[in-house]
Amino acid sequence: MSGPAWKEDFPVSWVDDHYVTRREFTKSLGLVSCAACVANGALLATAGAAQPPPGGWPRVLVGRVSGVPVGGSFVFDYPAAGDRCILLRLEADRFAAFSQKCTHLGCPVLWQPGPRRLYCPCHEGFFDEEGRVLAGPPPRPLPRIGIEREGDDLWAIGIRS
Amino acid sequence: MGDRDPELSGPRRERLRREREMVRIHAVLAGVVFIILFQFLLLMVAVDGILGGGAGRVLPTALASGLSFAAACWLIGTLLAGRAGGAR
Repeated sequence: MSGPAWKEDFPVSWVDDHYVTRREFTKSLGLVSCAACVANGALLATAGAAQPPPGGWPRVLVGRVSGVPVGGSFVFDYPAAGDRCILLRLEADRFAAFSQKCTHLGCPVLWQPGPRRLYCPCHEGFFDEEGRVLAGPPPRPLPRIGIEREGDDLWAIGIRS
Repeated sequence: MGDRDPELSGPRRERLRREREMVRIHAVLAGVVFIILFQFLLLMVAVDGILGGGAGRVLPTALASGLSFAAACWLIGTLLAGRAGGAR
């Protein structure tokens, strides 16, 4: 007699059910190629977003001189909401601003007024007050934000990589 | 050509034809796999360009990836069309 009754009700074996034909495999290779192409296109769109907009960088009021003590810092958004930047007041009338995203893996950098350096706590990356890499894994300097002072107002005017 | 040799019997000729067909299929599959590996390499170069500040590399890699995809589609199309023709 043959095997159990369920084998007659479900005659397709597990192996046959999961058998992949060469034709299906070939089509899946085409899908993988399509996915790689789409991913490259998405990267292209991302890279385009990092370029200045057609009308140039916007001019945005980011804060007041009186609002930040000498040696202090504050965080603002530029050029769009969510693009975090950090402004440093190095001397009474000397300012510097940088993107707050570490050039290693994008963690936010923090200002350390004592040693006067920017610090990335994720992987111990350090930048000087000009945004240059002092130590750690960051591969390049922080993108610098152009700052213009008008009276008591501080304006962000662009990004320089 | 060997498969037109009148001394070859029918089954032998059929086996020879199938062997040649398999060689062609495997060559096309190897080509498609090579193209996909090349596309992954392009993807790595593009990611490296974006993270390393060399965004100028992204457009050429995207174009090359598109061409590679077109080539893979063409290869797969010829393979499937050839097999459909062989089945008639």
